[in-house]
Amino acid sequence: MSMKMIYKLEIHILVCLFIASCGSAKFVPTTDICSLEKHWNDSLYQVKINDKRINKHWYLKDDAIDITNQLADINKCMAN
Amino acid sequence: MAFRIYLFKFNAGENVRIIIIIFTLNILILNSFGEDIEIGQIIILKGEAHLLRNNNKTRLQEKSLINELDIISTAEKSLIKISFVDNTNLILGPKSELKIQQFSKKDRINIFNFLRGNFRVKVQEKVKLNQKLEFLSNYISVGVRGTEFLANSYISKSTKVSDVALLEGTLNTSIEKAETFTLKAGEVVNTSTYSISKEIKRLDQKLLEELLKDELKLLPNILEVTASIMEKMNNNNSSTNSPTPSLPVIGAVMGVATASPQILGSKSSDEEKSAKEKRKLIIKEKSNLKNEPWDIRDAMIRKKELRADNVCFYWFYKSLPGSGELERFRRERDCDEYENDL
Repeated sequence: MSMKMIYKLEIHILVCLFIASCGSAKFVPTTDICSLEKHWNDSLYQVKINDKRINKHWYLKDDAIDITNQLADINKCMAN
Repeated sequence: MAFRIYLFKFNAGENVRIIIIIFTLNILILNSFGEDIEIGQIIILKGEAHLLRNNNKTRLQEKSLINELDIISTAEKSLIKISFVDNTNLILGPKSELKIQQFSKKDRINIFNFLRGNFRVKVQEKVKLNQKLEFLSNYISVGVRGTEFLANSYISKSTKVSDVALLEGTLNTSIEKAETFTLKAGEVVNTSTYSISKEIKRLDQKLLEELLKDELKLLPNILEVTASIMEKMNNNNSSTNSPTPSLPVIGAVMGVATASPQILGSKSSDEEKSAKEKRKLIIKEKSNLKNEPWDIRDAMIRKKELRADNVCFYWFYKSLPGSGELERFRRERDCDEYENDL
């Protein structure tokens, strides 16, 4: 292997190390807030993240709380 | 290779010049990256306060600088005022602890965690739509746009509770397991009371004026003050050999929430009566399954049994062709299954 090849290889390794150092990701816990909204008439609740409903479905209160916990587990909203 | 040879060709004087240039460049680069480190400064310090940074505890002085992720604590009979770079002023009362969970100068996405004690916050620069300023406490979080508020985080009857009182503007408040609501100027909420009766009280006018007048004044812990009043009342009752039996637990908690003339605005007896009626209705509503329609009642009654088989329900509302009114429909789902359209 010639000296030129050694230097080329060295430069490639340095570039790879530089790129790899930029790619190290940090886990950032979300600050989004999960909340529940009660139906005006029935004892049913809708799950919201930052005041936006996650779907058009309504749940029993315990089930809705359970869903917020599941959302918190996958970092979609803050853990309670 | 060419670069190395080039370096070797320099004489000593040129080498020193290059080292100086590299050194200056390093300082410039470090300065530009290190810009975000210092985010605030202690501007008033009364008594004793400490800072926990990277597991090292140091005593704070006036003009001490604050960084992201610092934990600041105050001793008994102490008070500090911190001024942050985004023009937010924060006062920590005695025996208080604050964690700066997140602080970004550029994006202004700042999160403060009130671990314990009494706090007062003045947000002088309005928070824009793409920015976030949030304060977390026991079971409560508030999102701020531009306002002045007070918060307490403490333990009452072995439960963590928080009070939040607002002096100016509006405050998006969210209490754990309850819907988000907007707190208006002059209102005060306690997490424990709110979770029982969804009650938001008005601050006593005299106290509100005092708070607005004295920028270092803090909000007394609502439940502690009310508890001491209750205690005094109970003592008075027992000293006069009153035949009145002691209040049951739920009644006592509610009494605590209302019997606070020093903090909360005094109400007329009629208003109090109607408030009591409302509370009674709320409790009744919670346990009354009779009034629920069959599909919801059935799901509530068989919840445990169905959950064991991983069967849960969801409901949706739809108007059928020909009839204008919305009708409720129930569908089965796996308990760990839900749609997320966001």
